[in-house]
Amino acid sequence: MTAGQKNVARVGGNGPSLTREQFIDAFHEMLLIRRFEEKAGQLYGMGLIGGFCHLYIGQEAVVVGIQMTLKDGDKLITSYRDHGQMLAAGMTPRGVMAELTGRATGYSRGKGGSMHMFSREKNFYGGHGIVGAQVALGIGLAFANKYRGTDEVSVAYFGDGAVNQGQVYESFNLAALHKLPCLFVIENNLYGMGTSVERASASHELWRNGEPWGIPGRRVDGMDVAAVHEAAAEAVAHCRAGKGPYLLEMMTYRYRGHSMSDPAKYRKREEVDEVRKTRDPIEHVRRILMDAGVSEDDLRKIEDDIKATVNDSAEFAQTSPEPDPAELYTDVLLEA
Amino acid sequence: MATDILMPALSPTMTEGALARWVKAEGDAVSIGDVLAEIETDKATMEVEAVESGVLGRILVPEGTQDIAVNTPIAILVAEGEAVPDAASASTTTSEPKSELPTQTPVEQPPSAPAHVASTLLNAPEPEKDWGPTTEITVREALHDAMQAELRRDPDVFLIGEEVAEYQGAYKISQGLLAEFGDKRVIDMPITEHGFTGMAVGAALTGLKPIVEFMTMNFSMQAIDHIINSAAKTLYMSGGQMGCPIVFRGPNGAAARVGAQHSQCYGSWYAHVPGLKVVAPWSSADAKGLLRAAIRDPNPVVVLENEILYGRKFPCPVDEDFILPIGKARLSGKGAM
Repeated sequence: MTAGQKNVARVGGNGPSLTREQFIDAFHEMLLIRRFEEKAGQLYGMGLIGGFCHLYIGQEAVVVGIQMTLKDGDKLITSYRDHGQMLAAGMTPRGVMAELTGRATGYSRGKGGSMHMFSREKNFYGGHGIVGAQVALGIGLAFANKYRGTDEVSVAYFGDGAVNQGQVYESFNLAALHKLPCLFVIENNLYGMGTSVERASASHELWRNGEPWGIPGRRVDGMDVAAVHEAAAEAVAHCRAGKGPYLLEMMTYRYRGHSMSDPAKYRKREEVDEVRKTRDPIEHVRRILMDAGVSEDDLRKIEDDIKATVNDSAEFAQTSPEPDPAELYTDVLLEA
Repeated sequence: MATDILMPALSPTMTEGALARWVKAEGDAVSIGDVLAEIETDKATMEVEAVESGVLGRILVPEGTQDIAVNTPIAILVAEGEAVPDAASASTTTSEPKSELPTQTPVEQPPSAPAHVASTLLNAPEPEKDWGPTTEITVREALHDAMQAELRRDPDVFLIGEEVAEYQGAYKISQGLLAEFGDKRVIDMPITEHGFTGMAVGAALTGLKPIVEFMTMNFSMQAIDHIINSAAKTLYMSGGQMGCPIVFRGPNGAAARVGAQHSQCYGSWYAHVPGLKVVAPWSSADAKGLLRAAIRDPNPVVVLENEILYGRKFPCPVDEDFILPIGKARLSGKGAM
């Protein structure tokens, strides 16, 4: 992995850092996702969220750093681990939590749930439960950008578990062949459900997986929001300039199991504790802000605001009605 | 403030579980993320983590207890120095969940279909529209003319597939379209059905109107996940936000002496998928009229053609606006009463 490590050093070393205001924004966004996901975990435990639920805790710096480099009109698509992407895209905590709890006030009016949420307004194209499907759909979003003659970029997120899906390579080929403005983001959290990358992939340098098609790639410390931001800014600029796709491998970590029912016996508790203690993306930014003279009171105010927002979303979700059973028959076909 | 720690649901099917082991003891300090206890679910042994910091004030359910219903208080968490209540509080920090459990809101009677669903199924026979003079054209020409007319009519329509552009179509349906509309709208694809179908569906979710030609529908099976899971289901799962106006078309069913892999009929397969429309035209008029309607339809439509009919001639209206409605039977002739 020497080449990969070299790239990590480049990202961490030379990139322009964020301003104090940007760090404060990033702290806010990441903490919102963290607290929201903790609340979702609680509601799941109470039986208020049913079905599958995959939490984003630990990976917050990835979406927050990337989102800071995007502009209105840029399109997003991801897998079933999608709550963080939606909040980062500006979708409301109320609407997301209501959908998680299957309420009529949710983004999919209670018919999508955790894995299938969408927002036309925020250019968020889901939330997909089929591993790898969002990559082919994602180049379709980029195709549409190009077809319409805009300079908009599409971001397709997928995990290390999806990288060896055949359609991912078909998509790399099509995106490179047609120079589609698509940023591929591999969120490498080291495990596809219970199988480590080493046991699932003959290629361990996932950032190089686009090389046969000439897709430039970088490996990035996905626990460092400034490093994510710097790499994403370069990658997005490349796509926006019409030079074709770009691939970023974000080295990250999920603290919770694959889903709520995963006991996570495939890794040691000490491994999780070690990452939490030494690489936590939020604590990292908290230290930067305190070194920059931001007071504990100021940070506590942010934390209190977020707690209130998250509690409000949970209250809203629990007091919203469930969809009418007749909704089973609606939204199947549009009137021609 | 004292907070009840509740027996959590840790899988989609769990209603009760066993408390295998307490990892923390009464009086232990607890931080967010600390493992409090191990719970046996119907699937596995799971660790229960603290979601708030404090002191484990009282354990209400001893380890080894079986069949503990989800949401039963199992312990009380207090702030440091706070008095420990004897029993679980009536109200927890989150509102009472019991009435929210889906099992307690049974559907008493099967939901009835909204009126408009029923009405579209029971279209009363209306008189056939008279489209005026006809001319004899092949089914191949009819399909070509339909795509040409819709490509002219709507700049959001484009055609992709294998050999549709420079080769002029494996079955010559798209002959001449590249020359008229250019390579931005008539686009050759590599032999990667899964990838390019997913790409077309993604573009359709943004409102573009792709026509995906499969060299034969047999190859659509490579891409069937995107046809069903991505194209047909997204409107429903997005609560009506994200329609998918796309056409999947190509020759279907038995051809002549091409073997089982190239002879499959997908009619009943695709007709069983909610969210897809399926048409299978026979004559030139049906082919032209239904393909035009399919391209304009806001839903994903599968158009099943037949290779053996491509070269057959049938009368077809010459009217430039000729189109047929999808879902309405044609009265070919009256039988004896």
